[in-house]
Amino acid sequence: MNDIAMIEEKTPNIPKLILAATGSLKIAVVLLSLGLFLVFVGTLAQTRLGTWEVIDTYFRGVYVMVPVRLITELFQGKENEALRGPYLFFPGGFTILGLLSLNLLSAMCQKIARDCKSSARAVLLRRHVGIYILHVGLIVMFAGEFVTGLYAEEGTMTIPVGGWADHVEDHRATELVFLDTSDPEQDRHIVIPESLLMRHAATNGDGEIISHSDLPFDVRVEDYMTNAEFLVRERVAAFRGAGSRIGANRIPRWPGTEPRQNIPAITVTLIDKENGQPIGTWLCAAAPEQLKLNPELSIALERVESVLGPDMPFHILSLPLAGQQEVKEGMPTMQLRLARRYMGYRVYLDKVEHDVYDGTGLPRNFSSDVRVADQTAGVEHKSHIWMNHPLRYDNETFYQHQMDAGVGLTGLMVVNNPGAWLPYISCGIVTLGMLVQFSVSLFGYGRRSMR
Amino acid sequence: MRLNKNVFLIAGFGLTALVGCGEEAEITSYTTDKPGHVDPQVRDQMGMPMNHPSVMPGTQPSGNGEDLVAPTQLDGIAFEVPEAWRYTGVGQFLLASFQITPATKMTISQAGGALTAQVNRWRGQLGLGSVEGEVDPASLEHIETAVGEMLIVDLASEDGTRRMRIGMMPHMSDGQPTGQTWFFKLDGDGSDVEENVAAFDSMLAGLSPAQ
Repeated sequence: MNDIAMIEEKTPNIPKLILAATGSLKIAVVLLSLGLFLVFVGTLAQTRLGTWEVIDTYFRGVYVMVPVRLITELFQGKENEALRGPYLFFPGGFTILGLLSLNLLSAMCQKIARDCKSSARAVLLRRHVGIYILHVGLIVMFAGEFVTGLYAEEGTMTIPVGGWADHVEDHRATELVFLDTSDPEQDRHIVIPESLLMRHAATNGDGEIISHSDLPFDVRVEDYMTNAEFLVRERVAAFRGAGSRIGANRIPRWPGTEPRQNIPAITVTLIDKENGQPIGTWLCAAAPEQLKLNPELSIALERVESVLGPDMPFHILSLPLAGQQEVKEGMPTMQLRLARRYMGYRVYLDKVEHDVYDGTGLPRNFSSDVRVADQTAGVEHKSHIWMNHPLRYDNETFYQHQMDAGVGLTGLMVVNNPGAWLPYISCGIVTLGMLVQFSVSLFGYGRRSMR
Repeated sequence: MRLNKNVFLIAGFGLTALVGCGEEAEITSYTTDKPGHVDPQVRDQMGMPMNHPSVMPGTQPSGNGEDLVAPTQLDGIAFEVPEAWRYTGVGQFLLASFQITPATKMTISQAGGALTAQVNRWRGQLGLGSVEGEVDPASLEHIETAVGEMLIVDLASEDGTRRMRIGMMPHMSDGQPTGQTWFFKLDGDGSDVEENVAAFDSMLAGLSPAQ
């Protein structure tokens, strides 16, 4: 062996090493096992957490701290108290999927490199082409989950018969909005997103305030609760509005196994921008209609209304400025509401139908006749939406979701998923790969038989 | 060994890339069209109530009432209010609100709660003390209607400047009580209320099942 050959042998081939390390079948087996375990604990976690919370933390997270008691309580029985440590550090769904994609890609590259180096290159490449295509199909499928997890948006659009809607509401997030309705033509929204509210709530001990040139006030988030229970309390002078008579206690989000709606709540102190003095502290809830179901709260709310005025509902707290005690039409209001996404066009609802099977109350069909009026694009588009027959417009898909035919309301689930077609494309590629591989094997067998 | 190092390097790089995917949302400001009112003709054709609070969720009553159409039925009950009572819309907890004079209004709502608690709440609003013990429904005024018996509570402040006259009736669904109560509340200036008591009682007596 000459010197050059010896040097070549000693010098590591980095790309080859990387491919060998990441494309190992053992790694694939380990990752698939981790994935199976993650699905298992993620399913268990839904008895404690909301479905979307589990999806975000377990299946679309980088890592997750799995409470060990989640597993041990399978044998020891479930306890009602909240789960605490010890925790098991575990890779999240995105990490496992990312590594699995890398593993698959490396394995494919290794195979192609090996085939290319062989003296029977043409034969091997032809023989394995179906497998390459299969690998590409699986990678596209994994990419689809990444795109959906990172970029898909969904929410509900509620429209009354004879009315229209131009936005969807995301039931998984809230926002604090200052709404200025003084302009006769348009409303102005100044929106603080939930992530910012939560970050400031976590650091409120530092006295950090949210300040922005568009905000009419500086805002200090005293507390933010992703789910709260409410109770009537003695008058608390520090609070303005409904919060003076109604208190909120933080409770865990309802688990995915509970058909109950979370009621996020926030307490905020507004601070005068000019003199830096607090104007007052307010309690806002994002789903006040749920509170009305509780008779005691209902009474307390009406009591608050009787003091503050009839048009002072719980989540739409008009803001009497310093020195002004009366709420007037057009005054800026503050609301904690479900996060909104405005579409730029209107969807009108002309008709709803709720059919049941004859002689029973079993639903047979829900459908909505809608019109999309997009002034910017000069489009007026009519559509009949019913089960499994959504309307697709402007990258959004409108599914029939809920209905109250008695009141005359429809609820559409609106999904904007740039990766919606990737699973279909992936399935097509995988099918093609299998057909090619089958054909190559079949023709190879045929040729050999002929000889 | 070298192999393992590479594995950790790549895994670390992948994790860092994934962690970097998150982004901080910021304060935004934008304008939108005002929430639209529903078309009463379309709803009428469909035989649907015009002014249920959830018809326009998230919107506020217009306040001036000029572009609103007064409802004639709500949640299975039909009623007729005097023309002079100006409809001012719905609230988060009000099914309908009518302004009679600048200081007097009639509202329709549904809520839960025991009779005594309700009476004490209204008494509190008028600056009166709570009643001792339970309020006996038999001691209250009654009005017979085509949709059930209405209990009437009539309260006035000590100086007589404010008066409330409230009609209460159990809310029913498919013939069964839902635990909620209908409230028809005439509330405001003492003399205004006095002038409108007859019209209010007549409206209550004329309640009928919605067609």
